[in-house]
Amino acid sequence: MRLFFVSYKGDDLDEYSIYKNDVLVIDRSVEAKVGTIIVAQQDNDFTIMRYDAQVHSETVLWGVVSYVIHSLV
Amino acid sequence: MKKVIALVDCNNFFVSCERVFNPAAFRKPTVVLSSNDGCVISRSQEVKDMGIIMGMPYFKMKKLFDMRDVRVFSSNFRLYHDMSQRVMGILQEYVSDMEIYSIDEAFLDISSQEKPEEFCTSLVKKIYQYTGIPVSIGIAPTKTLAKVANVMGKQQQLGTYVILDDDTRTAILKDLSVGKVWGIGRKMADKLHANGIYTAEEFIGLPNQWIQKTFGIVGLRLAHELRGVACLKTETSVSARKSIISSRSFGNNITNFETLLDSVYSHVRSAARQMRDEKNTAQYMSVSIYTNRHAMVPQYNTSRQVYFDIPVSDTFTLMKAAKDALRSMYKTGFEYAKSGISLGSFVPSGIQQATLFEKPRDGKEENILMKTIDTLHDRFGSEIISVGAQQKEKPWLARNNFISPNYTTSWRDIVTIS
Repeated sequence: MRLFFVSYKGDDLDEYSIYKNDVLVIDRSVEAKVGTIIVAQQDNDFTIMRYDAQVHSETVLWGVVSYVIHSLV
Repeated sequence: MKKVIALVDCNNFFVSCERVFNPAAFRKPTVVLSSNDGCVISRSQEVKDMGIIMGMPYFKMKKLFDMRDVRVFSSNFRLYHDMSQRVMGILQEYVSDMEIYSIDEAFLDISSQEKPEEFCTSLVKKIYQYTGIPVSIGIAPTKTLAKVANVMGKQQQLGTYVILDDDTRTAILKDLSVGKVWGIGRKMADKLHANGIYTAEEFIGLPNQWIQKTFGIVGLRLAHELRGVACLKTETSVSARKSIISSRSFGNNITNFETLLDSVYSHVRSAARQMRDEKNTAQYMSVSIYTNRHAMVPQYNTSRQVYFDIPVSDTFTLMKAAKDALRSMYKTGFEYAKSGISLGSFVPSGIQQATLFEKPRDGKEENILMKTIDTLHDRFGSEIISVGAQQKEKPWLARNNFISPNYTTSWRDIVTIS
């Protein structure tokens, strides 16, 4: 099992097709490539961003967002 | 073929589990407390560097922790169990001969690997990537040496550490104090010291005859293991010390709930008794029921897991939990052929005792009662008195002020990002 689930409670992120109250499926076995949407640890918190391969000492890759579960009710 | 054994050990496992889901604890001094927030049972490297030792009572440390901005967590065994299964699951995919030694350790027989160190380095990387848990691996020709290698690796903060050639082994054993060897307890170490033996190298230089006469076959095996001659096999099933299993097939199939419950109760009684004899308390119980898989009958094989916030040793609490578990999975219309339970995630009863007096209701009555019952059983046989089914709900007031959510096992507890 390499999957973790994360609930997104922030503002809609149109450019990532991630919306408030979506559930993100994080597959840690997927390698991040430039442009992949990832969850990262940054400033004591989790954040969603595009992976850009540059090494930021303060940003740590947590996992690749592989699917989004969107509620229809 | 020469044996190559790897010991995989998760670094600061409980702390590491918490850190995966708490970015605020990442790279910050972090501790996990025992049940009831009694004492420190897992420390991050930063906390070890502060000189804080294992088992320190939390109330004594609180001021220091506040001052040094230490992140404090209550223990969340459901989370640790799940993360452990993830780590072990990855190992199982790559290695067929594996012994899960504890919640955070496993021995692997990797004799067939051509490049053991490279193989282990890739395992370390994979486990970290897939789970977020850092592990270190000791590689050696025997289990005892693998344990030594693992400790060396941890000290030098290396992912893998190899003791495969004789020169390395000799150099390390020269500096290793004999009391630090896995399997050499306080008593044995004292006796060795009394005979002028202080290092592992001196120990393995002793004549076999003397070792066996003084410490028995167990001592001799240890010496052989340190010399690089494997005596301890990897046990594919979980080591007896880490879990107790009681299960049995029935003489006749059972269909009704009450009889099935009786059988489960008898397993609880014997497993709990064995656990108390070993001075352990359980944080985890699994109850299983099976139909006869070799017969052409409708099949239903299932099990339920129960986690205890406070480690349990008394038969009453276990019976009640077992009954609830059985009720939740029992279905009519099947011929049950076998039942079983297992107890695990043990905490030595001593550790828990340190926190007993802090609780409003401390379970001492149960302890005394269980001791009395155990004594009666010893003296008059197990039929003289037995623990009944009914037990009032106990007002356990577990103190776990800093417990994290069940991020991986409870849907409403998953990580939220905003």
